[in-house]
Amino acid sequence: MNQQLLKGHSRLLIMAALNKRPMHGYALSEYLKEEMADAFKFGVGMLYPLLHKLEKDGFIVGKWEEFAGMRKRVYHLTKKGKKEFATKTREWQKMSGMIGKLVLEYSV
Amino acid sequence: MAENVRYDRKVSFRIFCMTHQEFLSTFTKHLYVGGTKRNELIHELETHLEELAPSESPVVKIGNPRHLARRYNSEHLGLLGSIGFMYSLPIVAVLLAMSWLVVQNDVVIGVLWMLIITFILIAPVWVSIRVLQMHQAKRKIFLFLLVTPLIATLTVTVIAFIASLYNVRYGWVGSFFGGQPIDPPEGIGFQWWENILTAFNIVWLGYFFSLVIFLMTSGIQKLSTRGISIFPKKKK
Repeated sequence: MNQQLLKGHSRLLIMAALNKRPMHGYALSEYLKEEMADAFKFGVGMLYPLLHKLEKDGFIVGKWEEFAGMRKRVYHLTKKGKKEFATKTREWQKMSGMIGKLVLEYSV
Repeated sequence: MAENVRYDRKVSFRIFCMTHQEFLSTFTKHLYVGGTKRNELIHELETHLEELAPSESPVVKIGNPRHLARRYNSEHLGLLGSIGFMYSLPIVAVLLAMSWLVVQNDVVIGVLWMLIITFILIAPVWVSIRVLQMHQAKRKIFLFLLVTPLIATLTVTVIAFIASLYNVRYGWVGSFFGGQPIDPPEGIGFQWWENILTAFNIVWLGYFFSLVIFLMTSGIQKLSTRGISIFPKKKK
């Protein structure tokens, strides 16, 4: 699949994953890799800067927590993040519905 | 390294074969973010590396550590703050030289203009950003302070010398930036060394004031305990 399709939706994907449960960076990268079934390559090099950007914007918050005897930075979705996720999800559903309709209407 | 990993030719083999420690070390070296944030970012990446098996290549799993550090710099410091010293040197040098070249016809006005541009606009902003937000080794800081005015001096000297060869004052050069071209009075020529000396004095005066501002901001930095110090720590 075209990797360019991932751009613009990376934040939504991260928020969707964190909405399911709080995760640290490694767990998040493995989760996304598994869920996308290798259709998209969500590089770790892209993941952490995005996480920091989301944290700066106030959508997620990172806390240092004990995880299996090791200290890890676990990210949680904030209230603001949950609202933003709900908004983006509605927008995505509307957009994908419209695109799907157009594509099916004009497909051979 | 895992046996089934295919070598990617886009990355040099040396980087491809990095150990976890080398990866972290390279990342740390190119990370310009300073203060407590720096420790958090490094520790977070360290915890990610701990999850990887020793045989797994961190470059394959995470990417080039230098590029990763650049993305972090861009994210946390913005465009201005993430420019490395090697790129910022010519930028600052050109700014210093250009500000002098906009001079009209008067050395006094020229010096004043240089003082305004360098001390009030460029040096405080530039040095403050560098010291308060970034983490740099001592030698890089002094390299910045020594090489930048040298590049500026060289640039200005060359242009002043060329202008002198045509027996005009530096106002001729200033005409390229909107000033009025000035021809010397008939029969009188300007000594080439006068222009160069003036240029030299202006730039080095700018350098000394930049150094003063840098030391002042370093002192403030040390008091605010951000952990950046240009003085060696005494061993207990």
